[in-house]
Amino acid sequence: MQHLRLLLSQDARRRLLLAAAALAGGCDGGDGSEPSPDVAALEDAASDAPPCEVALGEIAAEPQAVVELRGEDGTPIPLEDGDDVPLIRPLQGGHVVFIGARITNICGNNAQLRGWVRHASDGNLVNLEGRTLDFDPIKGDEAWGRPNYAGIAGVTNVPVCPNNTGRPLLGGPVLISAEVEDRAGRTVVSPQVAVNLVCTQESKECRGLCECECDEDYDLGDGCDLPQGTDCALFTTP
Amino acid sequence: MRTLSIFATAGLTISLAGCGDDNAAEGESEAEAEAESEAEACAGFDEDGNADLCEPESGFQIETPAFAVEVGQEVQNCYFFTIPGDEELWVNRIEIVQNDGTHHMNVFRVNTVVNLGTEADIAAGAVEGGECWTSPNWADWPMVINSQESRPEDASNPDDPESTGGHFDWQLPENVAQRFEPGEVIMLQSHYVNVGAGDQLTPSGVGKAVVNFYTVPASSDLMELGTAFATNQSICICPDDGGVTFESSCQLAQDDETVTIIAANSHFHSRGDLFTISVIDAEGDASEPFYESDTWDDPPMARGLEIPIPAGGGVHYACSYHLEDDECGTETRNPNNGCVSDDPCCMTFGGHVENQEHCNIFVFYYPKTRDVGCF
Repeated sequence: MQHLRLLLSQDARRRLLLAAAALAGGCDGGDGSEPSPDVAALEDAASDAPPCEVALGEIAAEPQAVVELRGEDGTPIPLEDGDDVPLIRPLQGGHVVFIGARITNICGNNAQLRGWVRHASDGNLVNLEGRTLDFDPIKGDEAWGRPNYAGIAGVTNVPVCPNNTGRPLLGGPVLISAEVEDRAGRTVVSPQVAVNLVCTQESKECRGLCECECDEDYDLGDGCDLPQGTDCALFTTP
Repeated sequence: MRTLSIFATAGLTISLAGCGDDNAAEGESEAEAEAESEAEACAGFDEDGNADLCEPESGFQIETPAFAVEVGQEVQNCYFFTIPGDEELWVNRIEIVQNDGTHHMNVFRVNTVVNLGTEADIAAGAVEGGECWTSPNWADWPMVINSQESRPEDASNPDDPESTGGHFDWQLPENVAQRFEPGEVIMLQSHYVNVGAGDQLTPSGVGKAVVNFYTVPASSDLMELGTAFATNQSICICPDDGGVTFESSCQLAQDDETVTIIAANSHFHSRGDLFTISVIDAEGDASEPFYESDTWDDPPMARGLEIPIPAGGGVHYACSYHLEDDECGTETRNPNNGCVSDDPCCMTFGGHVENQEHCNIFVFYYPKTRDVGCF
């Protein structure tokens, strides 16, 4: 199962109902016909949702999403099966994967991006993280959009370690995917990519910390013998 | 009653009271009634008008000194205590009183010490302000308890009989208790607000917190309480974003385990619109929220829950925010948090109520399998 049945608010439910009605053929489909009363009522209910200001591709077409990573310099990194994915220590501690996506045929403003990490053996969840972002048209390929990756808040920060799963996470494959839900409740999920999570920190101490926190037997509070004063975070908290 | 008081430092006390009563043999309702009765008689104010608790007949007490919270200030201090005695202690009731104006108090078990000084500094008793604001400093410290009850006067408010005010009294299920080792070090972090941030002020200008841990005799029938603290720190909320939601999950049960949530609490600041916590199963499907809060300054702590978590499952939590046009987080925006907007008013993660935001959950469950942190 890929979708998160998120019931965040009544408003979100209305948007999902509206989307369902639209997909069922109840909307005018751009042909000028009047929407059915049910759809009109739903549209009224959802009228407080922001309008689609950034239409990426053809909104009436099947949406598509491609999962990708944010590189350290803020550039997108395409993913292929078998790739190594370095785990990164963010400000708050632990180790995360910065999962992003590029999307088309969907509304890009105020969309909810979710990054998923799953065990390859059975598809069970390792963790997810999601956030509301604007997907802007990509220069030279305006039918597609992606968030601004200049900062780490522009992608999902999916917590992977500390390892609470009790299963190995390093080396072996995990499945990474992205899901995007637009303001109308239309949802698209990328194909999953099987990658290997790796600790590649240059510092031996920081690499050891990553391996320790990602160990299947790690318990919070075990301590990972990080020397006093060692800071392994991607950035330093001011 | 035998009372042993250990003074960790000039202002910080931890007291161990004698054991030996037979609370564990009593029925839950009887124990709760007794606890209520005892709480009424015990919780109050000292001669200086500060929140006070009498010491437990069986258990131990930790207490911060009274500290100044001047008008226009937010104060956050970390106080350290050593668990007394020479045997493990099992706690199945926790009672907290705090002066009005508390934003929250959290208790953690001290583990790796980062930026908070040396172990000797910690043994000395307190870190006031400074690094006490930086939660990554205790990223691997298991959570013990938290409370955000901030209005003692509400405890006796006849118009709001459900309110507990600044008086928090939690009787765990009869067969569930939190375990402490003798010599273990714990930290009480106390945050007081006395600025014009909504409804949260410190009228006396003084902060103080007192916590009683009531013990029961060790027994093979007891199940250990587990805790989970989860925080989403890479958040960015901007005036023109039309409302944003940050969501994450935290696994509590591994493949061969099931656990039961008995309490949960959430924490965000005044830009928060809605906080939800749901059960998420091993496949990643989230259920209807079992916890919802739209209150930032005195959010409810859901207690008395019996929420089963399936094998491989955990919780999903979501924080929704919006920023009013006249709000600006520029003074304490964290430039490294990755907020990419050009708008300098965007708010980022941080403890300052006035111009930063939080997205934290506190979950209590049994049986404990391990301490859980998700960040």
